[in-house]
Order: sequence, then C-alpha cells, then structure tokens
Amino acid sequence: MSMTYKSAKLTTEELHEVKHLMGGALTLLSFWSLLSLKVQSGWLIALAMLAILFSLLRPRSVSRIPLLTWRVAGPLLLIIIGVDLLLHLPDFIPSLVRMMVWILLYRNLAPRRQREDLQLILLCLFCLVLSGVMTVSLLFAFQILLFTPMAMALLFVISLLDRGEQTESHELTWAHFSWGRLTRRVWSVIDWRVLLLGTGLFGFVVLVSTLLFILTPRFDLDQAIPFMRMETQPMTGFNEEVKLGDVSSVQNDNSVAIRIDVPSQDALDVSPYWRMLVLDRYSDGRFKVSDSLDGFQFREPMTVRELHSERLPRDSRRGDLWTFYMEGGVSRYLPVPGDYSVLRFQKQQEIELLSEPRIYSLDRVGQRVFSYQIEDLKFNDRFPAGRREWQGLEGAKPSGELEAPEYPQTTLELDLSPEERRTLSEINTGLLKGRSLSAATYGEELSDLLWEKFDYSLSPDGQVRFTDAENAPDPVINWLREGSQGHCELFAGAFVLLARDAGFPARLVVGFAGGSWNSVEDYFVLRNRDAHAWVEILDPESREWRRVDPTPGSGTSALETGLAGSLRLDTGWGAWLDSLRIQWYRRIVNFEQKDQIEMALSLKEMAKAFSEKFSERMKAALLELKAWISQPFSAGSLMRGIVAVSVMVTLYLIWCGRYLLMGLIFRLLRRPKALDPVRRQASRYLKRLREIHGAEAQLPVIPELQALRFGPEVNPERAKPVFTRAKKAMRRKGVDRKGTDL
Amino acid sequence: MATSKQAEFRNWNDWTDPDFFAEGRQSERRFLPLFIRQLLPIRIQKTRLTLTGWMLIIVALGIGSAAYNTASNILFLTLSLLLSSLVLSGILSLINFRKLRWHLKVPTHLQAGEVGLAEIELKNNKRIFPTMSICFRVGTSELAKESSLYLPSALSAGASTRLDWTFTPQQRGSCQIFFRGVASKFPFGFLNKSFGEAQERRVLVWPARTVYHFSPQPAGRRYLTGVARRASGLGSDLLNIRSYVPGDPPRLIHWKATARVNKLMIRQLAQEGESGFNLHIDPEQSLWSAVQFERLCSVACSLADDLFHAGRLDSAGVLGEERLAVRSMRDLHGFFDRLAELSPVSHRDTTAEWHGSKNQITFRPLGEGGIAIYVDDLQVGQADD
Repeated sequence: MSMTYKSAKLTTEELHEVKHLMGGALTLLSFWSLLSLKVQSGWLIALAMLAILFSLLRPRSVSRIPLLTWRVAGPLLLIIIGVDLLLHLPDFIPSLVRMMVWILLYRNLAPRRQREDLQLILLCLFCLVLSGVMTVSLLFAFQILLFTPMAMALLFVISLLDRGEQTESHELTWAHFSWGRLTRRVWSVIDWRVLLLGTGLFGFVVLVSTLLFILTPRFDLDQAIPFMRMETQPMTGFNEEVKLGDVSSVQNDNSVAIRIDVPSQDALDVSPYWRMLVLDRYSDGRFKVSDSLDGFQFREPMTVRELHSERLPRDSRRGDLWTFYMEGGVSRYLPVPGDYSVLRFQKQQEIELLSEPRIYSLDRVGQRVFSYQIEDLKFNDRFPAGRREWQGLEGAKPSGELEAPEYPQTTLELDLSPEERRTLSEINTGLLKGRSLSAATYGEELSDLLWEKFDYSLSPDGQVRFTDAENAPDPVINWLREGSQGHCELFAGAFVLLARDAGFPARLVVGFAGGSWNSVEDYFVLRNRDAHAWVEILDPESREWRRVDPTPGSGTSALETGLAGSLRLDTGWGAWLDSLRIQWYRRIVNFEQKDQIEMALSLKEMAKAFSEKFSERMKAALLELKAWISQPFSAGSLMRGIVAVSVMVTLYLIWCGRYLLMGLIFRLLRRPKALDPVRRQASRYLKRLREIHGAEAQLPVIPELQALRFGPEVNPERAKPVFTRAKKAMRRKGVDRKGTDL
Repeated sequence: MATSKQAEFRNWNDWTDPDFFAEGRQSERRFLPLFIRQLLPIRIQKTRLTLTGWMLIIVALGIGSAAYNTASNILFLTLSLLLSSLVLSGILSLINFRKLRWHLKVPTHLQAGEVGLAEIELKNNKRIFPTMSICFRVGTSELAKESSLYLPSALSAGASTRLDWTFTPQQRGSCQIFFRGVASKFPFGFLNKSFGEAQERRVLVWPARTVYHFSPQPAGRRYLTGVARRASGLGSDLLNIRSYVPGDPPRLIHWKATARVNKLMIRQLAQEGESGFNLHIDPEQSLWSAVQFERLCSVACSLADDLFHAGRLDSAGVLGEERLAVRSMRDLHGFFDRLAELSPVSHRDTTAEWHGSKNQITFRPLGEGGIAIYVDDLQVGQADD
C-alpha cells in the first residue's frame, strides 16, 4: 500500500485505460449471465467472450482497427440482427439474446466516449436483468451484486474524467499501456482507507436496497401480464409419452428437481410418492396419455390463483402449508401426492386440470423455477375412481388394440399379438391358480412374483434390439420371457400388462418417490435420481385406484403396510450450498405482500413486547427506588447512596469531558511515548529548573534532562542519576543565569 | 452596496447548505427568521438531471413498471439496487460539498489588451474526505459566454489550491469578474448539483498601451548639478526608504532594510537634473471623436507611465478636476483609474483651468484619428492612427 497517497494520482490517459478495461469486465459479466439462458447461442456468446478477453489483454491491437471499420460494422450488424429477428419470429427471445451479444461486442470494441460508456452500462444491466427474470436463479443474485459495484466504479471514473471539452477530445492511444504498469499505478493510488470506505459504501448500498426491497409495496395485480416466458423441453420421463428407459435415464442425474418447504419432518409420509402423470395407453414399449384423456371431456383449462378442493374433510384441515419450488425444465405436470384443501399459485396461473385422474398441468414447461403452495396436503395411496371412470369401466373386459381408444377403457387395452398375450396369460394362470383374487391380493402376489424372478438394475437385460422393426417382439413381454433384471419402468410396465390381462384396469404413473431431507434449512429435496414409475390398479370392490409399486427396493408393494421411510439426510457443503438456493426462493423470489404484512406485524409485536417489558422493568425499578428512599437510613443504605451518586457524577464528568478523553485516547494510540514515566519526570524537572533558575539558565543537567525528554527511550535505572543531579540543582537556589554560584 | 441587514441575512444558514448541521455556523437563533430562511433559501442548491440521470430515471421507471406488472421480485430487487445507488450518490455528493470554502481573487487592476489573471482559492476543510470533480462557472462582463473552470485533481482533506483563468479585456472601463457558485456531478454523474451564491468583483480596466512619439525640447532645462530635487526620481541621492509597492523596479530594493524589517523596502532616489512634466487631458466632447477619445486615453496612460518610470512626471489630471500630484505608484494608478472611467464631457467648466505650471503636456486631435502631444503649446510628439 502506498505511503504517498496524497501525491499519487492517475493521469487522464490512465483513467481512460481503467475506464476501458472496466467496461470490458462488465461486458464479460453480462455474457456470463446470458450463458444461463439456454437459447442455443452458447457458441456465439463464447466467441464474444473470447473477443472481449483478447481486447482486454491486447487493447492496443484492437485500437489499431481503423475507424472506417466501425462505421461500416454498425449498419451491417443492424442488417444481421434484423434478418435474425425476422427469421425466428414469433419466438424472438433467442434472437434478442443474440442481438444483445452483437451490440455489446460492437460497443465494447469500438472507441467509446461518455455517451457510449453509458450505453454499455445500460446494455450490461439489461442482459443481467433479462437473465435474472428468465431463470430466477441464485446465480443472478451473485451477478447483480458483482455488477453493482463495478458499474458504480465505472460511473465514478467517467465522472472524474468529465472535464468538459478537454477530456471529450482526448484520444486513447494505449501507447504506454501494460497490465503490470497499470496495476502498479492503481496499487500506488489505492489506500487501505479507500478500500475500507468502498467496502463500507457497498455494504450501505446493499443495506438500503434490502430495506427498499422489503418496504416497496406489493400490489396484487390479478391481471398481471405474463412477461417473457421461455419455454423449454421437459425432462424425458415426465412427458405425455414415455418410452421404456426414459424415467431411468433421468435417475442418473443427481441435480435437484424440486425443493419442498414442509410444515415439519413428521408431516412427510413414510415413503412419499410424488405423483405427477398418469399414462393409460401402451404400445410397443411406449406408455402414453391417450387422446381421449387429453381431450375436452376430462381436461378443464382454467386461469386461477387458488384451487379449492372438497375432498379433504374439514376436520382434518389445519392450515399446514407445503411450498413447492420446481426447477425449470422438469415438467409441465405438477407433483400433487394426494388430497388437499387449497392449491395456490403466486399469481393468476393458466393450468389444465384432469380432475378424475387428478393431474395438474401448466400450459408450458418453463425455464425458470416455478413455485406453488398446497394447504393441508395428504399423502394418498388410493384415489377414488371418478364417476366417468367408473361408468366407463363397469363391466369392462381386457381387450386388444382399441380402434377408438377411449379412457378409461384404455386401462384394459392390450395392444399385443396373440402369442404375447399367451405369455401374459400363462404367468397369470400360474399366479392365480384358478383363484379369484381381490385387487389388493393380486397386487401383492404379482409383486412378490416379480421380485422373485427379477432383480433391480438400471441396465436391464432381455431387451429387444430393434423395437421399431416390423414384427419386433414387445420389449416388456420379451423381458418377462428372457430377462432377469430391470428398471422401474419394466417392473411397472410388466405389472400393468399382467394386471390388465387378469382383468384389472391398470395405469402407469410417473413422478418421484422418496427424497432427502436438508438439515441445514429444514426442507425436503427431490432429485432427478428420485424419478420413479409405479402402477395404479383399480379395485372394483372399493372403486378406488390403488397404488402398487412392483419395483424391488423402492418401498412397499403391500398396500396396507408401510416400511421404514426411504428418506436420506443431506448434510455437508452440498447441503449448505443448496440451502442458499431455498433461501433465495423463500426470501426473494417468493417475497410478496403477505410476507410484508407478516414482517410488519412481527415487527410490531416485537416492538410492543419490548416496550411492555421495558415499562415493566422501569416500573419495578421505580418501585424499588421508592422503597429504598422510604425506608429508614442505615449506614449501608447511605454508603450505597453515596456510591450511586458518585457513579452518576463520574459518568456526567466523563460525558462532559468526552472529547478530552477521546483526544487522550487518540494521543495514546498515536504517541504512546507520551506516557513514558521517564519522559514525564524529565519534563517536570525541566519545568521546575526553568522556574527556579530562569529560562536561560545553563546548568549541566539541563541537556541531560532534555535528552531524556526528547531523545530515545531510556531505562528508568539509567535515568536515576540524572534525576538525582536535577534534584540537587533545584536545591541550589540563587544560582545566577550563567550558572555560577553566588 | 448591501445593507447591513442584507449582509446579515446572507450569512444565515439554510437547509440547502451542506454544512447546515455544522456546529458554530448558525448565528441566528430566533425561530421566525430561521423558519422563513428555510422556506426561502438563498443558497439554493440547484439540481439538474444529467444524461446519466435521465437514463437512470427512465430505466428505474421501466423496471418498476415491469416489476409491478409481472410481480417479479427479481425486478423489485434490481429497482431497489438502482434506487439505493441514487441514495448513495446523494450522500456522497453532500459530503463532497461539505466544508468547502472558496474565494474569488481578482487582480487589482487590468489593462486593455493585456492578459489578466483571476483566481479562485479553494480550501477543503474536511478532515477525512477529499473533494473531487468540482467545476466553477466563471466569466467576465465582456465575454458573452461563461466558461467552466475544473478542479484538475482531487483536493485532499485539509488542502487548498488555486484555480486560475486568464482573460483579455478589450475595452477600458469597469469590468465585472464573477463566478456563479460551484457545481459538481460527483460521484456517478446522475445529477449536476450547483451550490452557493455568485461572487462578483469589479475591476477597472486601464486604457491599452499604445505607440507614440515624444521628444520634448531640452528647454525642460537642467537645474544646476549637484542640487537634488526634493522629489523622487532617478537620481543617485537617497531620498527615502519606503515600503515596496507593486510596480516598483526590483533594482531599487534595499536589501539590508528589507532584512531588518522583514518586508520589502525600496530606495527612493531624489530626482535631479531634469524637470518634471504636468500632464493633463481635456475631455471636451467637441474636440474628440469616439475613436480619438479612446486613443487619447491610451496615449495619456502610456505617456504617464513612461514619464513616471523616468522620474519625470510631477502631476497628472483631467481638466476641470483637481490636479493629482504623482509621487508614487499609487498616485499613478489613481490617475489610471480615472482614465479608465473617463468619458467625454460637453461644455466643461473653463474656470478650472490649470494655470501657472510649467511643462504642461496637453493633447490635441491630429487628423482623423491621431493625437498630437504638446508641451507648453509646442508639439513634441504624436500618436498616429
């Protein structure tokens, strides 16, 4: 750090260099933020970042580009941007991102004056805000906190350079530029006080912005305009069509899919199943949602903020809130494990409800996190069949491929060759042995059979190589015949086909099962590896769809019993890092008017409690004082009174002389030598000798005393003889100014 | 001239003063005057949005609208950061102006056609914070446009500096030199705050130097040698030792006396030999055209200056007014001040003619624009067009 702070200042050329380089750094930051948007322009952003890096490392090379190039490049860029926009309408967001990249690149590399510097800052801010709004990711918080001080520093440098025409006309030549030299110059100017002040100011900005964020009134605009939502592809396994292996492929991914704020850990089910989508049709290794299920008869599109349900009895409603934060790109189907009282969104939301199979779907798969809340959630393992479902299935029998597949008849459809059906029938015959079993018993016994014959593995065997070839065998049937291990889709798929063959309507269900608990912030985490497929089989006696999970090791297939929970505990750095994200979602992303009111109410309660406590204490103290005053005096009470008064007087005197005290402390810190007892004593002796013998007395002891007073620090032992001589000199009164005795 | 009440009023603090809360600055204690003062502050702090500021406002409005439309907390967060940066900008700007003192210093005199230098003395009385990016709007009454005077680099706490600017007055007369308070866009350039009242000084601009010819007759007779005149001049006999006045030649500095009294002292020599001249001007309007009158003033100024420095100027003045004896630079400058403000007069009082003095230098028109110089009614020089 510089000890010559007062004299070191950057020249105009150096300030311009700093300004240019800071602009480059800001541009790199905004490109980094654009990378979070998955718009298939990563290559362009990467190239642009490389170009900016080059311009930062070799600015002189870039400054040599002739001005004519920039004049021509401008209109050319406009044409490129215009064509790109036109070609990709109406999906303009990727084109918008590419436009931003081009403009930023141009603005950064071309020579800049003040106006262009301001344009650059604005463009960078726009990129950051765009990325933040689209992704709502925690990374945005970090990026905007980086951007703020950098932009302020850049504006500060611009303001320093604003000296009218003198600096407007300055041309940056980079003649003597080198990174080492500039860094040394900046280092020599920066003082620890400047850094400390800068840090303090940044903290102030963060504090004020936090207060403004909390205090800015939020209004419930029910007609909020959906703002620039980007659609993305859902993860395979949570689509309307699921191929065998799709769900299992997701299980290789350990990233978080959903975070859930739960009322308490005990509120979770032993083995929670997070049901998302029901697939009723099967054909050639593919489960899908039939068109009729997807059609108008079952689907109810609506735009709501809250969805109330009467399925949950009123006496079991306690107002417990479950908040789901689903990461972007997971699915458009919302996990709703069972009955609830209210399903609530942040604002008016377009959803599609399939009420009878109980599927909740958004209109698109968003790229950003989506949050919703469920009040009084119950984990169901059985769902009453709807009226239309029961009407459609009453008396229905298993069938081959349906010509006009209608739900719920599709839950008995077996689109298989006669030979394949025979395989199923053989298995069922062996299982049933002529008995007529209930759905519950059948489910148990079939699961046990599958567990006995097959092991769980993400790498199944017995697979058909070319499933699309004509006359290719059905992959599930083939697995039943030849396989020995398989994943959850094969187990569930095999169960569905066998159940249908046995006359039980069955459907595949996909979603998540299990999960883990984050003990840092106490919330539940569902990762992609928790993706799972299981079955719902119709019990005609109770008219309910019952959950069966035939996959071994995933929980239980016994409908009436539950094993110990398969919940994991997340701890360590990973859990801590992930907890930052949930805090981001809770406190920033989902912060709304209700939270403001709650915060205000809790502040009010705190203030009220504090003032009540304070006034009680004051009253108690006053009563004690009154009692003390009114009691007869004793020696003890008198002493106590004197001490109390002395303390108060001392405090008062300290208050009055606080500046003196502070000055003394300051002097102590600055000049501890002033307290050296040897110096103090020498000073006293000098003063006394001057009074006795006069200011111009030339006593031999005076220089010695002055050496002790002003010279290097001396041991008290060495100072003693000098003080002895000084005492003798003081006793010698009447000595004239020349030091001679009278 | 401001009345004492106005002067007192101007010293009161108001809320726009950055040192409003500084102890000891507020001398007024009565409530009503203070209240009125806060309503109608004189030291108005004008704040104008710069281009950056406008951009900030527009961006904040845009982000705010989008935030309310979409209920997006990301946009609220961004808006909060923008507004907090504005708050920080205001606080830093206030600190930048605090305990900043400035004072306009103008030259005591100016001469037309010659470069003049005015200064602003700036002192930063803060203990910790420097002052940066300060700008003064300065100008003179002669110039149509004001110019900006920038602080070249940061002014450290406790430091002072001088900002100077030069200008060239073109005409003699009264010149107002002013500045309109201090402005700054510190720290981020959002707002251009200008503060403080204008300061103005009036300076007289003497007539410009001009070329002339002057060859007086040797009938400015020599006195007997060896006799010193009791008037200062350029002889060799020491007449007096006096304090230095700006304009005195450095070779006349008496170094021993200077060392003894610790200030510059000048040897005043007695004039010997040649007699002095008495210069006077007739401002009769009928005699001079406008151009000639200006030229007359220039010639008189130049001639008086040269004669004084040659030790040959006894007195100078304007006809119709009291004659001014010229014994020192101050007397000479007094005459120049009079020349600076001299205007043609008509029908002057002829009863106040100077009589009885020898070696009277007078001026008469010569041709269309020239000036003829007369000594005792004999032409001894001229100044051509």
